[in-house]
Amino acid sequence: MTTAARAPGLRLGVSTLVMMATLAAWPWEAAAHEVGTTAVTATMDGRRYAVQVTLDAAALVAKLDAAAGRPRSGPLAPEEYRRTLERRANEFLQHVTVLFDERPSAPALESVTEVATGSADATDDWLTAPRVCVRLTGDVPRGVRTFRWSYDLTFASYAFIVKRAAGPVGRVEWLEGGQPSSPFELGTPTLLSAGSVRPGRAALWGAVLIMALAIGLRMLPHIQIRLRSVVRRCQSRVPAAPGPLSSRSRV
Amino acid sequence: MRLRGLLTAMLLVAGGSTLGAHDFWIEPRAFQTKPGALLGLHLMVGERLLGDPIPRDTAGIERFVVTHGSQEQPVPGREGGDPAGVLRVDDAGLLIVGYHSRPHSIELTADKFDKYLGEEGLDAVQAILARMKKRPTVAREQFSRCAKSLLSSGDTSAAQRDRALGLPLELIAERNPYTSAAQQDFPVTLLYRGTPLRDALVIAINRDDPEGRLRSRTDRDGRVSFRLPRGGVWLIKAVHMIPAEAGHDVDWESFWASLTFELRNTSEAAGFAARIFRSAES
Repeated sequence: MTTAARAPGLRLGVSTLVMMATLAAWPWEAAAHEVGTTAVTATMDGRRYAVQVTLDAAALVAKLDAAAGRPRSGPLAPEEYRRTLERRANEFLQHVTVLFDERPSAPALESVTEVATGSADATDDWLTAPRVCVRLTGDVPRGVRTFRWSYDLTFASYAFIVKRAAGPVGRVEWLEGGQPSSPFELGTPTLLSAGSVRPGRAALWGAVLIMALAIGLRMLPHIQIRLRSVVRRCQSRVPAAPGPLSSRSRV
Repeated sequence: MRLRGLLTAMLLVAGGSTLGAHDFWIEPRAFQTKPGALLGLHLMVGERLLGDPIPRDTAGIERFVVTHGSQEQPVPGREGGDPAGVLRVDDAGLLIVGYHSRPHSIELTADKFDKYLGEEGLDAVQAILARMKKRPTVAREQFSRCAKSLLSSGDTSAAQRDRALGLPLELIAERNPYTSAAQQDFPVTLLYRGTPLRDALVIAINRDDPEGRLRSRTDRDGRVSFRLPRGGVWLIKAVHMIPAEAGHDVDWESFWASLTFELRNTSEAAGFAARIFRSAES
């Protein structure tokens, strides 16, 4: 590897180290508020990412109202919450921060869906709280190493899960409103930056090639022996041609 | 570009955390209901009556009760569910819901701790800190929530009033808010371990005008009186903090009292009085 090729990775490493040191040195409070009902799951899927924010719809609309200086909305029907949040997606997105290698990335709202509350009697809206799942998506920039998340429209602690699409196990972190998550390592930047070459396929072909070579080398002596014996057998089975030489040998 | 990214992240780290003093209150789906109704009770954490619901966590509940007259019953609910409590309203009258949490621990930097002491009017604690020769850089605190909510079922009478439930820090409304109205005096008493707490800051916040908060300190009888300017949902709150007892792994112990209710506007109160008068005549 040349120095020129190594330099970006080195700079990235230093940058990440600085960030980690800053985070470690920053006087975060050791414990936090009560745990709320908000949950966030970020999924990294190659060149795309998706973030699902599941939360209380009424609380979110009230906070958006307050942030925009509007009078507080009254209680709405569940489908009305969904429509309201779809309309006010840009307001919601202002309270979300997505960072790749500490550079901001702007996700887009993909959908807002109603979430089943699990009440025994779903028809009784006095006993249930309307919940929605806000799904955000965006592109993973090429060559990046880390992903971070922050959301500031919550007063309670919430669970933040980040995972790769291929792997079931993710990392879980408890965050406060406005608190950035710790960096999530995305993978090898050289493979990710290869553009059209997908890292999974490249690795597979590489492995197939190496295995074929190894098998071939290992089998070579056997093949040689086999070839020799075949040649010998063929030679011994060849019938003697009638002619001066044969007659001479019998004599 | 890289420097800009780094600076963005540093700013995010520096300004991101809003961890500080958050209020805690009980928010029913409706403050005024009818006999026979089922009612969800949300436990909320936030500021200016803007908050997030907290799911029911039995391990964190010291007491969660509802009283109607002289009867007291535990508030049931589904573990991990929101609303945290579900109430079946059997009869007409004033209902008092009380919640006392088990203590939570928190560590705050000295500057955040100072800011929160100022916001909550905890002058006595500030005075103790001022007398210290060397202050610790981190304040270790244990806090517990002491929330109450007043609900009405059907018609209530002025004789039905709030009363002490025995929470460590407790706000008690001296008038029934459902027979009162805006622009009238609304006296409240603050008790700490059953004894009136004097010189404590009590703050009243209206949901529709959270910035126009009212602030007053309790007198020697632990009383404070507000002239609530408008109807709607109100949160009255107070915080009391004491040095933690020796042997604890925290420096301070705090108690967060809250009282929520709905108040009629003056015109609504006039209509209510006329309705009562008509029903008495008939």
